[in-house]
Amino acid sequence: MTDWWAGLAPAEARLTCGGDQHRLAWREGELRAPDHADADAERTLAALGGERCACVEMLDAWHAHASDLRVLVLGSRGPSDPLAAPRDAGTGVSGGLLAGAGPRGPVRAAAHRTALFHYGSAAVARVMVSGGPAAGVTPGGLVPDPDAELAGLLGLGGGLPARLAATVAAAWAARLEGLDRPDTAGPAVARLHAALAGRATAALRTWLGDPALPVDVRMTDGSAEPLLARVGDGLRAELPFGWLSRVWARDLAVVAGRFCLAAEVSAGRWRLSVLDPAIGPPQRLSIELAAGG
Amino acid sequence: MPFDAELYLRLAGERALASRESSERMSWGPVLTAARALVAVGAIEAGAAQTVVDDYDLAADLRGPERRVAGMRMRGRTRLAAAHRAAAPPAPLPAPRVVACDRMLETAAEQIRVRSVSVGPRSVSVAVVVTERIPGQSGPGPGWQGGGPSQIRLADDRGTTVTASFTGGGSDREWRGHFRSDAPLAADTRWIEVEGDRVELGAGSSAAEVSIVSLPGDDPAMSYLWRQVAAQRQRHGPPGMLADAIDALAAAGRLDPDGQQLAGLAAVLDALAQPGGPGWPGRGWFGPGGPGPGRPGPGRPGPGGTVLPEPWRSLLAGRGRANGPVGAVAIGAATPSFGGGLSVLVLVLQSEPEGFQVEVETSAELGHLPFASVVDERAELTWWAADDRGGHYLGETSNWSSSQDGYEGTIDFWPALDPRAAVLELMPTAVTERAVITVPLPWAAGR
Repeated sequence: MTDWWAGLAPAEARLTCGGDQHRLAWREGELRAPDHADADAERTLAALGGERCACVEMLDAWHAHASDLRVLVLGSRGPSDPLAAPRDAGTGVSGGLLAGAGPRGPVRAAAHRTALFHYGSAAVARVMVSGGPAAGVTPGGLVPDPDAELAGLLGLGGGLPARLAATVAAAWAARLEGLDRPDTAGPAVARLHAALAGRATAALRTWLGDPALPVDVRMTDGSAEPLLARVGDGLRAELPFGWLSRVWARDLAVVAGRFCLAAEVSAGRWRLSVLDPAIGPPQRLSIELAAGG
Repeated sequence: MPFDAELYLRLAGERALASRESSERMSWGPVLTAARALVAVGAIEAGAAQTVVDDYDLAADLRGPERRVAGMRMRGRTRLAAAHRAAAPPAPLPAPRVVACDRMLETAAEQIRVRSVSVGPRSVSVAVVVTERIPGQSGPGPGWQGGGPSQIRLADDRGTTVTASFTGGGSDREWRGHFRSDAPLAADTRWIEVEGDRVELGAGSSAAEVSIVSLPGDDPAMSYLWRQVAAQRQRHGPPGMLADAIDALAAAGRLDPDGQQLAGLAAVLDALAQPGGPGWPGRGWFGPGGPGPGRPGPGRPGPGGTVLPEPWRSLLAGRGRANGPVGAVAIGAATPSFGGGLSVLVLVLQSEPEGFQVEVETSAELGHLPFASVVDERAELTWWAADDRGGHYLGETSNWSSSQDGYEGTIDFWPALDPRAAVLELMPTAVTERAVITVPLPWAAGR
């Protein structure tokens, strides 16, 4: 069985923690805080009234939201859908209403989209950002907002929000594989379907260069072959939720000018089922993703 | 496949994000509009719909940095209000002693026109129009320092003195609102002093009667749309707002989008948008092309001159009226809880040639105030009124604010009061019930 993170490049962001710039590093499906040797000890100290550690709080927030479908509701649908950079600390609202984790510097650089798809070498995005997890405390007398923690995760740079989305998509794809039909996933079905529809639509519109293209995305149970067809002046796509994890999250939705319906990996080679813009029969395309990514 | 209301709303949210409608807050955007309509017809629970609206509200905020603070605050406010309502339905408001008056007072910095005084068990509220006294100066003067009136001192005939703070709104030089104290004065005081100037209180409230009336259980979808028309001016909704609601109701199988009933709705919107009307947006609310195929229908004023449905016909009959009676009526009537648990306190009616206003308080926040992304209509009111000559009137909230005792503001009614009317029924109207406060108009007694 293929590890869900296969083909995803490492990613790294920096944040201000205890007055210093620290790293948060994602690799092979795990987020780590390499500048903290003992995260458990940091948690204990904070619980006893010691200084709160922004890195450890961010790790905890990451794990708390690792299967949270709201990550897919709020997060980027793709390159055409960037989230705003977190606010400057000088406004009193840093990291996108993320006060509560200690002082932070301003945004050092805008977050860049991480190039996850490479034909030669692995990629690591390094972006200096401000921000940290929120404790639900907002500055300036605002009403505490329980969304602040998740907004803080999505305000990280360095490609980490994309890895979080990939984590959530993989978790739910695995859950659905254990079900006979995706529509038995209960109250999550609408969010799963919308997450798939939003991202597939964004990818299709970008692919064909038509930001207003009508697209009807149906979520299938994966038993049938995925489908893309022209209907009237728009498109209809029939895709399983797993397309998000296997294709979209790996930045394989559009490869070499073709739209990818499905992806399978074997011995390090990815076999893609793709369509050209004329939307004829699916074609096969094999690629290799970089080592470590 | 059965209609999935949550999926419908979430896909609407995806379309809105993709079209970058998200750069503006989604207040009255397609998700909220559809959510409200689907909740109104029972296609989805209010809590589930509110979750979707809040999700896409936050998604929009994350894409527009200038909106993040306001959006987050409003979502929190929405949640807190909902939690408050769920935990403790608001208690009916106690009726205060209300006296209408029209007294002009002057301080060093301003002129204060006292319109009414409301002496309640926990506070005193003085409805005022305040004008800054800076002759020849157009901008904010040093007396207000650009911030409007702040505090005044009030006293009763027992020698008790309290401080009252101003809430309200206005322009550089004139503000309308209330001075409200945070402590009571004697309920039976013969007068109060406002900054040392005595205002005799005299006789109290009028002999208003209050009743609660159930509304007929008409077609939920059309009832919902008519409520939106009645509330449109206080909603500040964007053009096309009804189109989003109609699409959602049609998708849910609750409405025929090409039906004749929608043509009647369009006719009313057209009439409301005519010159001399209240200046409402008209058919633009339907979005491009109007409702259905645009064919004429009953009630649509076409070449044949069809008749509008009531109460809209009599409402529009008052278009252009500018001879409303001038006077004030102290009402001081409190309703029991009705509709979704709200109660309303009607303080004073002030009639002028171009229209009339009613000062009110409510026991809970109204959900339809601008920029409150609330899907549950139970916290909403539309403000109808009817006179004894068959005329109707429609109000909108203005100068709305909160206080320790509840929420207060002014309802501006259109058109002007019929000078021949002797009785007015004020009808704050919820989804299933309305309160009817019957007010004799004193100027009619002398005729």
